[in-house]
Amino acid sequence: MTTEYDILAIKGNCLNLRFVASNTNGTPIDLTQYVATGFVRLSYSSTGVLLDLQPVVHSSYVSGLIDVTISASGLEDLPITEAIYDIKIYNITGCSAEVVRGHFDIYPAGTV
Amino acid sequence: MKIVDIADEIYRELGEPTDVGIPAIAYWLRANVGKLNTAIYKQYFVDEVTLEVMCVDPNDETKFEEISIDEITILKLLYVVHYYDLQIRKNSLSYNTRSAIEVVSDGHTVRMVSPTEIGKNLYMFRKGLGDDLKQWINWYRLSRSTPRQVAGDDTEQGWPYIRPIYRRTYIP
Repeated sequence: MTTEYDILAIKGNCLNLRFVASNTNGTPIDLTQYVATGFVRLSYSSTGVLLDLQPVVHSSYVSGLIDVTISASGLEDLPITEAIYDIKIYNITGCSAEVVRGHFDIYPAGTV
Repeated sequence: MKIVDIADEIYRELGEPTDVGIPAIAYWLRANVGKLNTAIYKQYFVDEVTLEVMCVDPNDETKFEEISIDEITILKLLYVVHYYDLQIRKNSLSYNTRSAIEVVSDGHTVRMVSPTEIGKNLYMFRKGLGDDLKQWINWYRLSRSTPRQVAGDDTEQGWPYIRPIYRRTYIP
């Protein structure tokens, strides 16, 4: 089940997020043999990627946890805008599901 | 001027609202450059690399220049009108949540906020902003208007360093 969640990121700051992939009844999905991908784009039609979120499925696969860690340098060169993002999970058969999506708000910072 | 700085100025001028942030304003400004172009007959565009609002330099067609302070005034007002449109819509859609402003226990008096009155006030405020916007657009167009024909030459020399269109032949 896709959840809407807006991420607030500040230029030059680190970003650590943890998502829980769950079914419609709220049960965490067993992410054994799943991999996660996620990108930030300016718009849905943008061919370029602003940021690769590089989501990682947590080693406790049954808990459905997906971690996103972006370093300060990763957010340094992003434009100030309300971009879009989503995170998907894929299993070995190629079946994919969107876990979370929303806006990726990039805030300016005085010290970058 | 950079889009982020324009967005920051708008955010502050609106009183730093909690329901909208600088990224959302910056996004709106880029997405609605067309409104600005239509209003003031310009050809601004969003640079695909820098994401800044640019236009062709009128003095050198091979160069581009960033949006200037005169156009920013109009763009800001366009956003402010949009912002109050959003507030009106939010108020209209929240008719089922009315806040109490006064409750008197023994006298059984309950005074509620009237969404209709708030809506009316917001609408009047937005209407005033819309009128302001029209006025500023008219002033902008007036400041950029040039005569269709100039018969003869000026007897006073124009200052040639502002814009080439103001250059006239000087006859002492």
